[in-house]
Amino acid sequence: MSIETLDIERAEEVTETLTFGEGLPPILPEDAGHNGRGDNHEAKPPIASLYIATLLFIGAETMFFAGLIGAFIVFRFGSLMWPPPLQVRLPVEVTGVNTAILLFSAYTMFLAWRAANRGDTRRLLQGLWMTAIFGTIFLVVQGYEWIRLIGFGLTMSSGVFGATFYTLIGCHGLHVFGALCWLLVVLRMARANRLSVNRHVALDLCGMYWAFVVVLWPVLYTLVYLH
Amino acid sequence: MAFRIAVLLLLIPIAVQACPLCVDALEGSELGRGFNMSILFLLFMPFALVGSIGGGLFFYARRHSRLPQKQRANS
Repeated sequence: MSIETLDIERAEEVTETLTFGEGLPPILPEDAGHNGRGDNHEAKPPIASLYIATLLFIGAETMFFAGLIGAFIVFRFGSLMWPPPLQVRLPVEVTGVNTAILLFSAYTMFLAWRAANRGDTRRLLQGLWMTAIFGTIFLVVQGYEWIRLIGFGLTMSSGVFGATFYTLIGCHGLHVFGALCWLLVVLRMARANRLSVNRHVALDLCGMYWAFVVVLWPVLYTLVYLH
Repeated sequence: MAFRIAVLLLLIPIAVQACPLCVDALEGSELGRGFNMSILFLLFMPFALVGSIGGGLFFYARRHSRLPQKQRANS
């Protein structure tokens, strides 16, 4: 066996030792605790990074909608008559009822979150199902109203009114659809017992996003439908 | 020769449409009012957003720091 082969074998041994940590001295003394400060409590930040990330995401979404609302305000307050003459009138009453349905879905989401904190899986599932059903009803009614409006001649290309209406309300509808998909993922996790009393971050984050799309809607409804 | 013609064409002043956002063009008009309201709204939004999220995080962190050590580790 040559000297070079011996060197390679020795190098492999050292690599294995380093990889699996055998024979290495402990980094922290035995009595230092997990965090090296003499106690065994993990030094957790006051707010987990995932919550801050979701808040930032919601903040970015808010600014996105602020841009759309800003464009809408230019045309809405820059016109002598709104909606412009000979344009279709929007279904205020039906959408008002739909607004109530969406607002109620925030309450059922809150009930689900409270049930998760208590460890009540049955009520958690109930709350999530109710929220998903109300969200779906909201989207179906919106879709039905859109079909009727298009039938009456209000399209993206029928003027500023149609373009701003479909952009603003359509973007919100897409966000509700996204939140609904997220909710269904959380629902699946809850059914598979992957959410516990101490660990339901997915539900918390989904609840935050759901609250965002729900709170945003009355603002859009007031601005676009009630004039 | 072609280069000279191109330079000559570039130097010829062309009458262009003024910027539609020009203050004089919009002053007193309804569209100007709409632009002003939109600008004020967009000016207000970042402050409202940073204020609400930052304020919420600040008060949450302050309340969290007042909790006893054990409760803090579990929360």
